[in-house]
Amino acid sequence: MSWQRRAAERLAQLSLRLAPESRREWAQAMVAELDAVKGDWAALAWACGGLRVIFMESLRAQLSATGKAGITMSRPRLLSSIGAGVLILALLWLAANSFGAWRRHSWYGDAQATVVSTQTRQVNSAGRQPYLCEAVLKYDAESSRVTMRRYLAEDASSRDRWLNKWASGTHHWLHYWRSAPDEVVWQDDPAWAGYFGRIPSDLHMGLGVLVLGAGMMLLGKKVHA
Amino acid sequence: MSASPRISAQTRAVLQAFLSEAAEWCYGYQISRQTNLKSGTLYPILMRLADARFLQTRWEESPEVGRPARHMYRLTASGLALARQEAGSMQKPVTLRASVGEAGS
Repeated sequence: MSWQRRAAERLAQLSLRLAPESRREWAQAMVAELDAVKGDWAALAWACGGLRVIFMESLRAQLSATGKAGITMSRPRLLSSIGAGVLILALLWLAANSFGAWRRHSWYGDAQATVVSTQTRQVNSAGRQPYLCEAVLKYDAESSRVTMRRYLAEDASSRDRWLNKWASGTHHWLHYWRSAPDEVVWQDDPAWAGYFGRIPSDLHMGLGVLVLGAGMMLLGKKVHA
Repeated sequence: MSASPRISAQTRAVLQAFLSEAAEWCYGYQISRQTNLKSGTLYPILMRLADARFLQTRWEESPEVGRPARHMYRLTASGLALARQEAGSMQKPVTLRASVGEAGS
């Protein structure tokens, strides 16, 4: 017996096992026809098709059972349940976003402090006053480690050449100007501004969804009462 | 349950195949070869037709020892009526075109 036939028979047996009670006869019918199918590849295709049919029928049977259970639920209760579901999803979403934002913010803050101290030291020790100082940060999400490269630029083109040699993949810019020995003016990368800008909007949207969920729950209870 | 199933082109082809051998019992593989439909398409159609009582089913023991019994199918009276109705509805556009052609000639 060829491997295609053996595979077909295995699939046929699997479809028999998967078949819901109401479709067991049909699964047996498809399996029984397998012997009559001419050609090994055709038999394999037949078994694959049969398995697909049984899988879909099994899914349909389960959905139908769920649907029947849903019909017995009263409308206010259904509304409350949907509201509770929305509420839980909103809480999860908000928690995930807040955690992400907190992580981004915390490592960014630490890196920023490191850049300021080391860069200031280097500028002071060298006695140079570059008009543009920059640092590029690489953040490895898996190890949560930040790698930093500093650069003291006299002009933007030499900065770009250096950057192309070193920076690839995920990196973020920190720019600052040093106009006086003790004065540091920060300018965040636009991407970072976007990051920080997202926090309040996530918060607002999350709160909005929370209010919606709570409102639906309350409405459901009120109608029920 | 006697609700009409959704009549797709494939369902029509299956009905047509049964109609050509109205009095005979057919195997699934036989219908599959006549209609060029694969098992994944054919069997859902057969199931719906049987659910709607347009199709009769029975098991036939294999004459060869060790072979499984095979499932066989035949149109019921209402299935036959549906198949004829569908065959008729498929011919309608042809009739219309023919009448237009006749009017033009």
